[in-house]
Amino acid sequence: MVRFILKRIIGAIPILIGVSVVVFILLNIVPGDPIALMMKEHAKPDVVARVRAQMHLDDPAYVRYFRFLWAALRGDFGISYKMNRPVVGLLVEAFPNTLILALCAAAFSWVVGIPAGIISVVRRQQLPDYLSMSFALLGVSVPVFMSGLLFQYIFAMKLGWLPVAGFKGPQFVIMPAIVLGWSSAGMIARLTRSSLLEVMGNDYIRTARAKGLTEVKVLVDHALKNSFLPIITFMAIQVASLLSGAIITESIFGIPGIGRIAVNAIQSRDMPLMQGAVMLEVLLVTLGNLSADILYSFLDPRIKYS
Amino acid sequence: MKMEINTPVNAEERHDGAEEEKEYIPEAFWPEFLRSFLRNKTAVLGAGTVLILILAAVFAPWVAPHDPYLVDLEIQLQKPDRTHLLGTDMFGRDVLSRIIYGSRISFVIGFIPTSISMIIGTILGMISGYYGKKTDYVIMRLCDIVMAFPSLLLAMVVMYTLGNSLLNIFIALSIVGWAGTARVVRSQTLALKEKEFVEGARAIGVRNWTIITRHIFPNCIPSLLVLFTMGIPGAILSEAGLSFLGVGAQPPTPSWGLMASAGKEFMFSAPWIALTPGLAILIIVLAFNFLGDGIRDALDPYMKQ
Repeated sequence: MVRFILKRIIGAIPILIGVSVVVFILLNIVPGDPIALMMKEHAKPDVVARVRAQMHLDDPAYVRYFRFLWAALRGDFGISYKMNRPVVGLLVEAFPNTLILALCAAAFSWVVGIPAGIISVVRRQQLPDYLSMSFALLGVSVPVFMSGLLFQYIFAMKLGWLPVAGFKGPQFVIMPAIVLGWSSAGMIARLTRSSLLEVMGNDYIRTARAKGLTEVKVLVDHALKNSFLPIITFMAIQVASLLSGAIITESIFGIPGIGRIAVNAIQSRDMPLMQGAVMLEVLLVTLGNLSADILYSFLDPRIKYS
Repeated sequence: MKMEINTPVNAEERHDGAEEEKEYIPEAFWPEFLRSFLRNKTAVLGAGTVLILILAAVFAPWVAPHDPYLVDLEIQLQKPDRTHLLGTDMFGRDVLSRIIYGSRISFVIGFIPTSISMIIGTILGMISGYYGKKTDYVIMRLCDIVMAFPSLLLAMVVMYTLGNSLLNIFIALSIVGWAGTARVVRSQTLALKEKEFVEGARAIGVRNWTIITRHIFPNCIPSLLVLFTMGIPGAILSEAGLSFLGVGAQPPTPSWGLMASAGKEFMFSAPWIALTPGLAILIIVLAFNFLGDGIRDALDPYMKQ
């Protein structure tokens, strides 16, 4: 088991290195001089030359890549052009906000999505099934900014129940978490439904029913456990989709998270900040995949540890 | 059903008689598919909606009641009424006309980058699955790398490199989308490679590339069709998201995401500016999801290989 986990962790390293190469190439072949961005046009030529040398901008690309990699491994992502502060500091400040948002959205998607899927199997082809599947379909189809703006309009502007934007307390999390979690909730509900329906067709379910167990007991004790595997696989993909959605959610609700940082970094062409934000998000996705793999192997003993 | 799939019939080949290769997909494939698709009400509803929207997009100059770019500061932020069915925006432009013209962008974004990423993904997936070994390893690690990014973020990184424009969204979304297709096609290729007709073809000395294009590829078409229709709403949502964030289409392009983003400043006084393009996206995405679900259900017997 320990060997399996270790192997998975080691397997993730080449991917992370590959990502760092891709990100470095994409962000460093950009036309445009970072010095011009930092100091505007009226910088003296000798100052420009000194800063260029300080930032090693004249070195060949591969030297710069390895310098970036070596620094990144020690937790140093350079200094933001725009904010003039270490990138790591900015990311550390923003990370908890994104984490809280994503965790609340994930919790919402599980608490709503799984029961919705179960209900639609229990009351198959009846009103509860249609309702929860409509909820699910709407969730996967509605653009995040649409539901975000609509919620702001209804619950903040018209009803005044919740604050419009900002991130200063628990009541600020509710709306963005629901907006962000809705599409995941929809996917989980559909996945739970189809996976449960498939399990319900098995012989051992018929046996359980024949024993005279109640439908609820059959569902909870026999079917549910076996239908969870695809849902857990989904949880791995969920990290990536939540982080994608969080970029838009944070921008609508004015949440100072990593997504906001990335959007600002693009708009101000702040390369080190962008690089740091991207690497952090990729690390989170990779950790998500890794934990899903490990969880999966715990739950399904048929998976070999080799 | 399984038996039928294996029958070696292909009308075209029978006529020219040049090759005696076995095809996996029977002649009855399309009629049968169409019949079970048409039985599905939501799927037909989705297909109908898509068709109507495509017609509206193609004939936009005739359908749209006003010029989508015409600025008229006399009629800023007007509520929906009879002349402007969905009201006007902050420059007095007709929102409905802008939405109709914007549907062109959404359709193009839905079809073109999805097709490009499908082509890349299919080719790489088949190569990866068929040749195996080192080729497989390299291509699959590339997939892992692409899939390690939150998709919107990778698209943003590409947009950072290329600059904000509609054309660059094509490239960004093509780069982001191929990996998922490659994985599915690879696993199908792995399964097909072991089938007798591929082994047979190899035994009589058919070249690898011919086997891939004539034997493996046709059998991937059903799942590719599903992936394609399911990929379209994803691409539309991504473009809208990117444009909403300001890293996509630039004003005054009537991109739906951009319209929503510009309209959000006026949420209190004129909510229709931001909400109607969002509603348009919802409708188009729902229609494609219905269509995709319908195609998947109609193809289901063929996908369980």
